[in-house]
Amino acid sequence: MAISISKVTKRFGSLTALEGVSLDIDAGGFVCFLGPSGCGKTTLLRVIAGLEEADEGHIQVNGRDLSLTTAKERNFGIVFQSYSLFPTLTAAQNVAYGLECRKWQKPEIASRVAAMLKLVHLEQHADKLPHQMSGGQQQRIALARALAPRPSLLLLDEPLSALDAKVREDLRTEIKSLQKQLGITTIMVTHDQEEALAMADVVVVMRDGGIEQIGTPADLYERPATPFVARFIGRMNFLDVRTDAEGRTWLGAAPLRIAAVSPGASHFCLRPEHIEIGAPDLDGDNVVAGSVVGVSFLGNLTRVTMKPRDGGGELVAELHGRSAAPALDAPISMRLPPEAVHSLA
Amino acid sequence: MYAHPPIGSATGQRQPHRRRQRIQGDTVTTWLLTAAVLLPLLIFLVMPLALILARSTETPTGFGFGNFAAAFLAARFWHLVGNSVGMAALTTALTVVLAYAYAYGLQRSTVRGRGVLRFIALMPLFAPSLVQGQGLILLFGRNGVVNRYLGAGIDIYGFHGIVIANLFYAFPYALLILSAALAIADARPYESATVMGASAWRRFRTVTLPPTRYGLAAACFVCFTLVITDFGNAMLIGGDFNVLATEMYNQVIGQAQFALGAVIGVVLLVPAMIAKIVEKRIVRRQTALVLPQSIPYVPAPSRWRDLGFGLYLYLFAGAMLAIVGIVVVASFVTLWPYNLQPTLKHYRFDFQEGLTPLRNSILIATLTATVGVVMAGLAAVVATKFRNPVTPALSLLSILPSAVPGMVLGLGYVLMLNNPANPLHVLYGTLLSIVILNVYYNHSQAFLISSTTLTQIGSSFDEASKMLGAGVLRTLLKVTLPILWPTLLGVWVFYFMRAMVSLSALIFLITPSTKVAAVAVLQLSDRGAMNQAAAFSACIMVTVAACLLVVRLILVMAGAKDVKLIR
Repeated sequence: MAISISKVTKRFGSLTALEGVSLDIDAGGFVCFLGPSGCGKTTLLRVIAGLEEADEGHIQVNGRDLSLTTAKERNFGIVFQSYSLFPTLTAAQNVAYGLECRKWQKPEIASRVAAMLKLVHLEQHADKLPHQMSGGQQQRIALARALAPRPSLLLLDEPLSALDAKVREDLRTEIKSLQKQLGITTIMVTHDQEEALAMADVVVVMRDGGIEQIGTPADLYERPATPFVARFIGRMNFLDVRTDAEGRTWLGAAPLRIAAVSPGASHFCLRPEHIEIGAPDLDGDNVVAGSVVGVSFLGNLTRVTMKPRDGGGELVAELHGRSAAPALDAPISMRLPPEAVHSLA
Repeated sequence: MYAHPPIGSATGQRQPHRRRQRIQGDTVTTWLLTAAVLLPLLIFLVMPLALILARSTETPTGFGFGNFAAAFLAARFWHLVGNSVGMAALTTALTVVLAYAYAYGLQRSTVRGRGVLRFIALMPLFAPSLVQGQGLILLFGRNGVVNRYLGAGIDIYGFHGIVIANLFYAFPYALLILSAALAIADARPYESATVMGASAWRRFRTVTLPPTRYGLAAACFVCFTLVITDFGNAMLIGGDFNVLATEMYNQVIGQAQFALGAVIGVVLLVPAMIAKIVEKRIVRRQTALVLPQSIPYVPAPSRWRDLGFGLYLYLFAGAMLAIVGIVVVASFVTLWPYNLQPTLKHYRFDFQEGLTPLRNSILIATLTATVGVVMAGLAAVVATKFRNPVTPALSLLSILPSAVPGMVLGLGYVLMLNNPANPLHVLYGTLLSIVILNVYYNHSQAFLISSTTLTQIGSSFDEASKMLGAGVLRTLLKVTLPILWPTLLGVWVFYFMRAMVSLSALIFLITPSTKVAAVAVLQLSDRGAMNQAAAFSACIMVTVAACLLVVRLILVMAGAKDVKLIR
């Protein structure tokens, strides 16, 4: 089921939540709307769901316009952050709810509910009320409830945000494999970039009511199109680069070679894991000497912050594995590989 | 201004037009429910108030303010205004101060028996609204026990009698508000203040008092409005001291001076409205003072504080118990205070109408509660869940009754119902008219209780239900109602209690065929049949208490423990 969103605008009073958003989603894909709070990602999901009406623009599903179809009739499944299982109904009754709305026959409802509970591994909890289950279990029931009526599209509104870190990771894998198994087109809203990178086929980065960049997780990480995306996804060093009249680039007082400078570039950045730490007297191109001003040990990696001697702002490098980290205040050098430096407009 | 250029593609422009064309089943349902709530509000709330305004400006020469001019030029009118305002202001000041101290003692001390002390202080809510006057007369009246046996020569009738009676009448209302304001507090500011070396008085002034000032303001407004429009106590114990409320009754019932009654109605209505608007403004400024990360304040035992508050709480509760209790006692003696021989003869009700007023009251209260729950609950659903252009107006109308004094609304009903040209004239002199009056007189609180719970429940269940394919009605019946029913049962009890005990709202609607228990108490007292009046009061109290007990039992059995029943 392919979805086409064109020029959708939504205002709340004087606030513009979405500004002419256009987007195409392929059938069977897992798409994440990613962005900081207030970027419009949840509003876009709610417009797709039919819970909000767009002021302008329209949404099509397989070429059919949705503006006359209410949320009730769209046959989309949704899972909210606050589980929102009906508190007075048991797990099984919650899952059966959408089927009753569609006037399924009793025996069919029973077998579908059993199958859905089995799918989320909670068949033994069928008769429990929501408050008798853990957060993770409730969210799995919510997922079963959303999927039971065979929706054409699954919408997930920050489904993991309310859960503990460990449960969140388990459920992340479970949702992903369920989605692949059922082949259902899925849109998830999240502010957690790690979650988006781990789960999505395509990530839509949003900012201030518009789309900043659309791409696969690898695309966004390796080739961020804007400084915002570069900053938002993963960690990034923004280099204090100066370009002189001859077009040469300098980091502080040291010359800096950059493999490819895109026209009109004003930002230069590189990922911490691309920086190589070396001895203070290391020679060569793009080597910056300085002293260590910060070391954070994070288990599998160590993050080293260095203040360059010749100016140009602090640099952060990451050491992986068990390599020995330099001490605070120790003199070191960092090599910035020319091909790893991105230039952005 | 310039014309906006067309926005969006061709299909984009066509849509708004097409959107309007299709009418969905759910749209019809929501509009039907909205109309079902709005129309009765217009007929039974707006129309009576409009009729009072119309009647007060109706003169022999047409529309004009002649009635107001005539009233305002009379020295007697200003004398009455002075009496009413002075009495209400003094009573309010005393009540709020005493209730604040009582609430503080209940919430912030470790005095023993606080549950019982709270219950005693709330007793007037169970009793007909003139029971305080009744009790004071039995104690301190011309034939009261004090004058009779101690020869004290106290004259309770008049200004001070009304003040004392109304103090005890308004006390539970103020206590509920202030108790809620003092109930939750963050322990951290107290700890900080103590660490910084603040004295107990300074801690009270800087930490305790500021967050409760909204509660204090609300308590003042509620007390003032209650007291200035109270009718029962003023009638019973006022003696020669007349107030606007009794004057209105005398003008309308005694002399059929509807225009003058309407003028007094407007004079009572306008300050109440202004007070309500001011209160809303003040309360709106109150932001969440207790945040999720707050640590609840738990009072630690403190010898001198507990001794002081213990003394005060038990003394005040004793006074309250004496005033209400003496009524119960008097109902069981032969002839108060001359013959204290125990007897049950006053419970035979062997006079003309017998037990009919009590039966009427119970019937009215049951119907009021049932109709009221449906109307107020539906109004709350419409106002919080449906988005259509009339819901803001509907919310406003729903809380309007809290600014309308009972007597004023009652007068509006008389003007509406006793006019043969009005189709609603068929309701005149029926119990149903009293039921409807009760439903709309108490509508605000019932509406607020329901809509607060609905707001707390939030909209995510509705959205989940809608996405699963449910219509408005299915969501209401299968999702909302099962969550809301304990609250609605609480609303039912609230309506039942108010309908059993209130007097001033329905006094104008009473005809020989629609006499209710509270009115019987007034008339029997007036006639000097104090013992039988006391027996009637006792029956009302027992009925309300029994209802409360049964509902509490139902709620406990259903596992819904945190529903407040006494409001």
